[in-house]
Amino acid sequence: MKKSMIKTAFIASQPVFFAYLPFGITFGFLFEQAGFHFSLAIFMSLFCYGGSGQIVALSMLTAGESVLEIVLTVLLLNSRFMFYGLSVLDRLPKAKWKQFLTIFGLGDETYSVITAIKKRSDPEEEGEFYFYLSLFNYFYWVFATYLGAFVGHIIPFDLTGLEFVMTSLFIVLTMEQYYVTRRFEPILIASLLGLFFMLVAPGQMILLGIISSAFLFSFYHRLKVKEAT
Amino acid sequence: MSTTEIILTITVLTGLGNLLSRGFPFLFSKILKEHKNIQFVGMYLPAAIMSILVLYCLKDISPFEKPFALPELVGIAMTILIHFWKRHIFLSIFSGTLSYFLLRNFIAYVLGQ
Repeated sequence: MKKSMIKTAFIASQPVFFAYLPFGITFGFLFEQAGFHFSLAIFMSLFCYGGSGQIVALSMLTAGESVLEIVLTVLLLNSRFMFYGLSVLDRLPKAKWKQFLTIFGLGDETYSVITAIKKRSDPEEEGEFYFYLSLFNYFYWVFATYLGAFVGHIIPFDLTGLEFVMTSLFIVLTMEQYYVTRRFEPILIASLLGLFFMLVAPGQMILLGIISSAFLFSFYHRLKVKEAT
Repeated sequence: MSTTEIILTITVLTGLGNLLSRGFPFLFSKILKEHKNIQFVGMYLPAAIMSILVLYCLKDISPFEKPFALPELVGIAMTILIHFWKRHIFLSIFSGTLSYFLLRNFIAYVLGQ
């Protein structure tokens, strides 16, 4: 049983490997170009494991922002992680240390894969699958960072524009969610809310957008349930 | 604070923050599991979150001044089209980023920046 989960997880993690490659390399590369020691880039990827947050922190750091501002912005940006656990609640691996690692590794990509595949019938097996998936993805991220830092060490010229990789990633992940749910309404509603908060409170648009979307969806569901009864 | 200390501080704080965020639902798993409503929201929330994140990435660009957000529009269009066509994550991200990168640097070169 366990053997087959490793293989399945490895196969499922392939798209994540390719998604992390440009992402991690960009981070490691920009980190090196900024003049910081590459070991710190790897340490950051190991300890934080938060792709986009790391890139944002890096650009803020080079822009000269204060530590407090950077930490708050990243925490706000990563607050979306609070909602990811919802999809994994009863499907954690048995061992406590595996649970810890699986929860720690619950980033965009892993979350994306988990919500996109069909659930297995055996929750224990599912838990093992999630664990190995998270492990592989974590390794890819750190490896990509290392690669980027290494490349950054060799290539001397400026590569402005690489940060777009983050925008691209989220666009692709949004599209993947459409393929999974087959509904465009959540995307439309969230986009409208996002636009609204972008104009009104850009600093907190992520959290406000997510919370308001959650409320609206919840409200819609309640209405539907009422209609049915 | 030296740069190294700054980076270490940011890393440790955001790392812990990430762990808390990710672990948050598991602390309240009992309550969360009971409600169908929450499960419904949990099913469609990822799509909402990703959409908002796209907008977040684009929040600082201005379509009213040079280069009128052209590189971004091209990059976005490229990403979407390639993904519709091939449905391959790496390829889509790569093409979108590459087109943005090329256009952005080309325009900057032309404008003499």
